[in-house]
Amino acid sequence: MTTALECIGVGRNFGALAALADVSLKVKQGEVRAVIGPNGAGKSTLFNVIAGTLKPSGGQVIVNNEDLTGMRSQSICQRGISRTFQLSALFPEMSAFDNVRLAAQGKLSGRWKMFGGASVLEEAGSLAEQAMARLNLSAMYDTPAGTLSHGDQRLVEVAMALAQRPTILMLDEPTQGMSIQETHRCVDTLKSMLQEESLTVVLVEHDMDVVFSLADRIAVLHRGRLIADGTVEEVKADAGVQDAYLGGLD
Amino acid sequence: MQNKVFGLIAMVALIFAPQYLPVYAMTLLTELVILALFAMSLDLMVGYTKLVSFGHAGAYGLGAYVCALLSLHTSLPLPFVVLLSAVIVGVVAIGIAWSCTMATGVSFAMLTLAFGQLGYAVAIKWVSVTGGSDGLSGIPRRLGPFGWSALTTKTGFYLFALACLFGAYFFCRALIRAPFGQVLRGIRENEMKVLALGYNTRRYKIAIVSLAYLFAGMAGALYASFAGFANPEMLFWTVSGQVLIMVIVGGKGTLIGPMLGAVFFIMVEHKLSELTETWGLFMGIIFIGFVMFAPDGILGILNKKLFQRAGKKDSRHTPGSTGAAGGQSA
Repeated sequence: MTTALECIGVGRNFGALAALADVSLKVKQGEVRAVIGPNGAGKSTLFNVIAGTLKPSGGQVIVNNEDLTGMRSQSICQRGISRTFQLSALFPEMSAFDNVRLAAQGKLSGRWKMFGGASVLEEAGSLAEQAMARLNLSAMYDTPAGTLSHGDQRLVEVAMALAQRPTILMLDEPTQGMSIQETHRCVDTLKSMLQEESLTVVLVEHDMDVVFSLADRIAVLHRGRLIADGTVEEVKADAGVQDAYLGGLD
Repeated sequence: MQNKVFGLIAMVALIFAPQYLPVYAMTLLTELVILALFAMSLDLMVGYTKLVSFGHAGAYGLGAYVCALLSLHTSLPLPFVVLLSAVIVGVVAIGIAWSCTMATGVSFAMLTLAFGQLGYAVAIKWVSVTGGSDGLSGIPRRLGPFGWSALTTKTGFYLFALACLFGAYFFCRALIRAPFGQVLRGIRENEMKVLALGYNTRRYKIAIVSLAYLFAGMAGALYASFAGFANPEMLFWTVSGQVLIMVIVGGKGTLIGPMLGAVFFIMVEHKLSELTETWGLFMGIIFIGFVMFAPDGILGILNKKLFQRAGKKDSRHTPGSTGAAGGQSA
């Protein structure tokens, strides 16, 4: 299997604080890789560095053999990496369908069209339909995104990323703020979506149940450093990880 | 459906207005058509992209001066002068937009204000070209093309201005319904997300500012031909403030609303200034009232009350009555 995403010695400082230090990891094509760690471990920082929202202070991010280090987020998106945000980031007054269609349109060459462009909207629309069907959102096409339930808003975000047909899908705490029922539904939906699409996924998540049911491999961060990287079983058994989670929460 | 019928009736009424209205009313109506175009152009920025400009008078005044200079120093026919002025303003605006879009929010608004005031200062100081504080007067409306005189008469000029307004309206309407317009809506609601979706939002912003300035420049050029003069007052920041009020009072993000706002503003100004010298105070109170109690503006009220079509989403997309307002004003 080929490597889809590789981080080499990635670091990021905020002033004197090293939020991320010398993190190296490889994600294979088609793998679902979770990144976990206690609060402040640097999960989101790593995520944002890969997606281009933050520039790294050091190291390299390589995707499909191309060095994307320090590129702007829109360029990284154009290279096939689509992300969701930790706090729902939607266009609240637009319908759910328009949200997803706008996302799909972002990857089409006709996205600039000032006139006509009905075919562009149509093509984006059919991509949006597929993505929304995958995530069981077909019932809420016309609902303004801002009025959807929290759980549905999060799924619309995933649909937006999915409609871009990414090579790497990045999910930042997809079940954040959900009730237990919503979390179950979301995990089931994501699971069936992942079975149907062979996607490479990077998943940042707090909820261990979610991680264990979705991830193939898990990377564990603690205080900005990578302390473990392996299969679900390996990580569960890792003493350092248990320490970080149970003993090291200072 | 209903709105389309209203729109069509209004368009027909406006086209045939010269046959039925007295001369003084036609003068007012021509001015209203020009200001409606001016207000609509700002709506592209304020209403559709949430780019608040305090310097839109800069584009209006620049259009007027370019038109004045072209009319005085060349023998180009009127329609060409107006269109050329608009294009020149649009091209100049690419540079202005490039600078202003380095900033966002309030800083963006302040930069547009700075460029507007810069234009005002240039118009005052560069006496040899702009005529200083007196401005340029005696602007002719040249015949043509091919010696065609239909557009230079009072009625003909009104119809030409109306054609510019209709043309601009249908241009803008197509624009906001195209893929490009979808991106603008996204920028209005959440620019960060649009960036993350792979769009270079700055290019879209530069394009829309440039187009908004182009149409404001067209309105300015029409005004200079209409009034026969261009003066620095047209570039002053208070004009930018007034056009912003027209957009908000009329209903931003609707194209039609700002046109109604322009008509409302001028009519209220006329009536109030007959009654009191402090009409500005009352205009201010009316504006505050709209912002607090009717944020969707006149068009929002019309949609809700007359057509029983509540809900913001509808009013954003329904082409309303182009100039039910024109009818009222007559």
